[in-house]
Amino acid sequence: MAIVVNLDVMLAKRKVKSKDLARYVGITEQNISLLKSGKVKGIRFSTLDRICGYLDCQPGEILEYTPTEDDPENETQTT
Amino acid sequence: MTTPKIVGISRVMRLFCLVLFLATPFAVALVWWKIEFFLPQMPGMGGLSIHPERIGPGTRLLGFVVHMIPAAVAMYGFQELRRLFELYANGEIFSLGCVKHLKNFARALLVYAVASPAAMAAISMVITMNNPPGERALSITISSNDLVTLFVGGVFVAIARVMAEGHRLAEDNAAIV
Repeated sequence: MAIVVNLDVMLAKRKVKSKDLARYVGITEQNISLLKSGKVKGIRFSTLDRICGYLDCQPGEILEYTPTEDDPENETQTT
Repeated sequence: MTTPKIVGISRVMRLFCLVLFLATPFAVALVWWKIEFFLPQMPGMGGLSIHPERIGPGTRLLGFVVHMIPAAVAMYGFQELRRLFELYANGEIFSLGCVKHLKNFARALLVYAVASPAAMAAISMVITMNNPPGERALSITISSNDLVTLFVGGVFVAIARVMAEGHRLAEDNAAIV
């Protein structure tokens, strides 16, 4: 998938621990860990809202779109 | 989180299914112990020429064994239903285990709907096998109960498929933080 989660970068920038973020957001530390590694299928707006509020950042600083060579959009553009 | 109501109802139903499972063989044994009383009420037996004095212990035992075939299917169904309610009571609603037990219960219903009239036909032969020539009979009856059981079994098969889809959706939902 082309969506990259940069939550670990933002946590390091703000010097915030995963467990503190998890407690504030209201999800488990395990889910934070899955989110950091990009192994979730989606993120709710309410969760994103709480994360950005706690880390004082924009969604774009946590989520990044990085198209790969296999991305269907790239195939369309080349044709 | 499973609601307390679901947990409460599931615990009651689990116990009820256990009671039915344990009571079934005793109920069948009671029927064959007092077969003269129960026989006229059994499907397809009303028109038979019944000689109670010719239904000895061996005939009763054979009848009990034949009657236990659909009863064993029913016991399997009660057991699967008990396991299903056990999972519900533990908070599992859309797990693969729930789907499996519901499917097995549905299959038991379908098999019972076929096995029950077949067993009754065999029992009609058992009951009359010691009768004088000309009074032995094979009675095949398909009652509305059998058709309803078949229909309900089909309904539960469909519900099990819906539950399987529910499990898939629940898994997808769990993967969204």
